[in-house]
Amino acid sequence: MSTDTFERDFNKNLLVSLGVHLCFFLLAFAGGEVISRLFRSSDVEIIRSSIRVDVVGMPKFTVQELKQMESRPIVETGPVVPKGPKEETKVETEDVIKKDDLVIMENGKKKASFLNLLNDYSTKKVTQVAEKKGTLTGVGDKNLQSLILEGNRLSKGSALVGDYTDQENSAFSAYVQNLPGIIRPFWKLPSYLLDKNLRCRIKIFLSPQGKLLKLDLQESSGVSEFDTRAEKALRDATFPAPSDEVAGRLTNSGIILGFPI
Amino acid sequence: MKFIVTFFILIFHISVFSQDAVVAVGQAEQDKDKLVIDEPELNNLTGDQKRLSAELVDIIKNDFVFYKHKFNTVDYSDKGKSSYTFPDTVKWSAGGVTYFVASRMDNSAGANIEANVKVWSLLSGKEIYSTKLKVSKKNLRANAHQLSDSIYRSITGKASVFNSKIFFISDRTSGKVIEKELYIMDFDGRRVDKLTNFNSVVLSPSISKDNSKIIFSVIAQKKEVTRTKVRLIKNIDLKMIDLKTRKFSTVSEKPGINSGAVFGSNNDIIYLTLSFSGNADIYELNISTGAMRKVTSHYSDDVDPSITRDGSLMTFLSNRPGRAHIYTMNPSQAEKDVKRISFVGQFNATPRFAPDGKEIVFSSWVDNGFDLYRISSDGANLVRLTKDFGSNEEPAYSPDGEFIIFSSKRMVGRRKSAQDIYIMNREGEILGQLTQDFGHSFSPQWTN
Repeated sequence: MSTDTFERDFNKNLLVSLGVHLCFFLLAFAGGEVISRLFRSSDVEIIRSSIRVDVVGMPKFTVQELKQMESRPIVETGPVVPKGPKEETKVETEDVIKKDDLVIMENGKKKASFLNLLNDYSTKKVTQVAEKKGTLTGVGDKNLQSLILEGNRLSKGSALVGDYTDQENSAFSAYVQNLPGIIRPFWKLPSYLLDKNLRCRIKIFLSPQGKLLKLDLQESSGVSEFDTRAEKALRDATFPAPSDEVAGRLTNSGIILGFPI
Repeated sequence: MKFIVTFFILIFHISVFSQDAVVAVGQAEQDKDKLVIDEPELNNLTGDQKRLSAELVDIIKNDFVFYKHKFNTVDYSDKGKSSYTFPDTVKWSAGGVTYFVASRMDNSAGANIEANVKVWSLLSGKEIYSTKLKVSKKNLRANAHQLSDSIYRSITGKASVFNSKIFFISDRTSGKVIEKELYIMDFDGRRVDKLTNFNSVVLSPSISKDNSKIIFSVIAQKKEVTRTKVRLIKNIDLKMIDLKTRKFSTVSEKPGINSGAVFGSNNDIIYLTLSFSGNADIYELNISTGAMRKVTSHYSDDVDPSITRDGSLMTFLSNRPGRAHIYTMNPSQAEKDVKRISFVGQFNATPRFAPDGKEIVFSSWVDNGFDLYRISSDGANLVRLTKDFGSNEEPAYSPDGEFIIFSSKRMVGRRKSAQDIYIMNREGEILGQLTQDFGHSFSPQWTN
């Protein structure tokens, strides 16, 4: 057998082997997915917002006080600073780094080198978002803000406990993780349904303005009163307008909400 | 071939990108039921019977005020119509009422009445409960609580606290010598009865699972005879009272502390603190056989045990970390699964389990007094329950876990203080004062 023939046969067999392996892989993967979808409930992952709470002392505020704080705006408890003349906030309109900023070099103006690119960035002014008085930054949930008080202080901590997902940092994840806090104030049950361990799941579709377009009961609790109360909570809640990158998914695919999980 | 490859790639993409996520909304809050307890229909009653009927309805209405976190009791005037005989469920339902209690009082022998009570659910539009009970002036409060409990059960499917009792210690009979005796009263602070007359100091009462016996400590004086002299010594002995016969028995009188006893999962097993070895430890004692077993075994003092109803978990106080902190453990073996659950607080005291064993209420020293806190049995969810309400100690859960009773002490003069029993719901909302002008009242415990 000549070297050319051997090489040709080898390449041919290698390609056949690769093709067969690829087919086996795809078959196994797709088959596994189909089987798992057939034999499992509709959910795949449950997104729960989780935080780490470091207790730094005995709680200063009682449960009753915290409840009252939740139902009224947070008032800054620090020393009262006399108000000076109001400074006009300067708004930078030029050379401001914005999200997804792309620096496009005009022809002939500058040489498009990496060094010039860095120099440009170094001379840009970064806008600082002025902190709003009376609000606490760092925590998105309004209800949780009231917990940032002595004895119930939230901190980053040194370890994380809770269920996080791969989408944690995505815009979609950020939007949906706020949903429980928005719905929960309207999610109420009469005493006789509270301890029954019931569960229902409802898919909602939202417009780009945050308006509830459609409700779809995916999994009933078996008790119509329970399902009705969950649907009522969704109808009574006011959803914020999602960002453009999230809006499409919420309108077309929707999001499933679990009551309670 | 191309078709097959394309087909598999398509399936691959669909299966990857069609993954659904479920966002957990969390547990619902309770929506209060709107409850109406209508004025009764009076059927040929005398003047005394009418007054008895009015008192009966007032007690029932007052009972439900304790559950104001569950029920929004509202007055409903429908004069001229009988809600018992001709129920207008459509009208009530339109008024947002969820449950309606209608009654008719019939003439019975003597000054007694027969109370006929019906409960309507406006959610289903059906009558869900009906009962009749003979009510006498002598047993008015007990009869009223019994009816209240029946109504509550018909709505919630659970027992209420209306038939339960609270026992506590008071020094009201103290003169020059301090006397602290054991008393028992209704859950609402009425019908107080004295249980002990030791003319001494009674401590740490606890009731058996079947509510038939109360175990407590008492400071006893004993004669110690030596070769040269006879002297009086004091010892904290453990005694028990049978609530039916009102007879006492001595359970333990070992030298030192025999205190802080609580019943285990049955009426024969108790857990108590003994210090006869020189160090306070918690022991398990079979009061029928006298068999004793060490539960905690540490050079630090371990006191104040509280056991879950199934006896699987014990919480206690220990100064192992240098300060009094709360621990949990499995009491089936010595030092089994000991876990510290409190890490803050200058001095924590009297940890007590909720009936379901999921949370613990305790007192902790803050500034110049004690306040009450609640923590999950695994050490999470520490919350404060009382503040600016005197010094609050010795909390105890109600048998249904909805309420917490405690003693609260405050100065009422330069040298005079008042200490009374108060009741609050588990969220720390104070509902009322149960004892008043009854000496210093403390160490309240609820019947099971």
